[in-house]
Amino acid sequence: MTGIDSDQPKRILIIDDEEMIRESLSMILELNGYRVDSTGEGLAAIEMIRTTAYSLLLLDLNMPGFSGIEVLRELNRIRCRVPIVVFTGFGSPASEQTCTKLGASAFLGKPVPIPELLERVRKLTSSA
Amino acid sequence: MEWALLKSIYDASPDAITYIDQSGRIVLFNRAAEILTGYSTEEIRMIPMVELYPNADDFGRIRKQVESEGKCIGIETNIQNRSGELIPISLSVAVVLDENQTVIGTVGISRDLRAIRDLRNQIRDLETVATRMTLASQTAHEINNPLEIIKNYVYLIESGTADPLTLERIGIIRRELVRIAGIVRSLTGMAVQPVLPHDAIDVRSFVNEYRDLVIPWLISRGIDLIVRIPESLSTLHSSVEHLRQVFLNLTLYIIRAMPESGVFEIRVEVDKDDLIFCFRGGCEESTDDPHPIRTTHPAPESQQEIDLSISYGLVGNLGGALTVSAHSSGGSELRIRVPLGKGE
Repeated sequence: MTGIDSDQPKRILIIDDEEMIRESLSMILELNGYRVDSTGEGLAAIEMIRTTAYSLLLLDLNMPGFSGIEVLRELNRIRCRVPIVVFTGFGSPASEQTCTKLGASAFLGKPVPIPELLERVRKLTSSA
Repeated sequence: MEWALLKSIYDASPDAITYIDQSGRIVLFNRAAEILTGYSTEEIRMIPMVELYPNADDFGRIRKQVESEGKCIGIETNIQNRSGELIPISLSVAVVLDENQTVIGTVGISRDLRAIRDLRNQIRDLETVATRMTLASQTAHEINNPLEIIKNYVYLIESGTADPLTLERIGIIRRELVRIAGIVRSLTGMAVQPVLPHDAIDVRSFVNEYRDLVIPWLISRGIDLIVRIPESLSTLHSSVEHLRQVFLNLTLYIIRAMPESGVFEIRVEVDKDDLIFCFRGGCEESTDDPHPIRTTHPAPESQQEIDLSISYGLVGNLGGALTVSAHSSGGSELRIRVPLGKGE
């Protein structure tokens, strides 16, 4: 099962301030049939989400400037319904609780095992 | 009537009150003064006042200021009690004049600052622990990111090869990555906060208790405290201990930005399902920019950054957010936004 379940590949946005993570994850997801955009800035991500129909967002939590939590708050405010997978190297029960409350569909700790990530992405994009 | 009122205040005061005449003789020494110093009124009359001050320079400085200005207010110094313990006090002294405006003595009011000192020490200890935890978390976070990158590239290499030797070597890398990830998890575990209790907090009582706690400290620094609380407030469901720590930490932050004197304002606002505590402080001469709140990358450098860094983490654990900005009238404005929450 890949990202090409219909005529169009599912489109995913990666939001992470680490360039190499954006680059490597993009390649992995593209290898699995998804179309991928990425950005390292929370505010830029909000703008991209406003103008592009994404099937899924992969969101890092700890970013300088506009953090992942702030992105979630803003997406909540604009009533964005795109599934969001939060992935972070700095997770805690409290931050997971906050993210879930703000509408995150999944909360994964870095390093995320690729099979697990791909399975989550597949499930969430097929229900999108 | 006037004398009866003064006598009541003198007897009931929790602060030490002394009156010394021009010959240096202690005329009045109330019960609080006896408790503070450990000497009875009769005993203290046998001891020169200067001997209570372990730092003679302090005594000289205070006396000089009272002689030249007629008073001194909220001077922080130490006295040594009967058992040799150093007691931090806030001392205010004023001269007493007779009907001919001649100085006939001095009255001194000393406030025991031990509770405040202990609180400071407690905050410092908490800061130390919290800073170590924060640093451990930051380190773990910094390791998790490169781990994520290595793991992703291992996956990409694996996807593009069928060579058995390469696949075997990739297996070794993968196994070692799992080991490192385990070590990192132990490190992050040091910083993981427990799920916090949801105390039902009466906001007005909470703020008033806090005000009573810090007001002597602020007065001794010449800082005026203004508290504004709306008439009707919902109950806040949050961790009262966590919130208290944040308040004390941010008070330290504000006070550090106000070395001389000034106005410190706390305003409480309700915004939909959130409660906002707004701390604003500054002095006219203040030109300092607020420090940015660091989330992950560099370790905090100054004490003010540590205060903010810790408060940021504590407020985050309450499910809220802390923002800092420079205020147009000078000084800093700190806004703690916490969800009102629901009772369990």
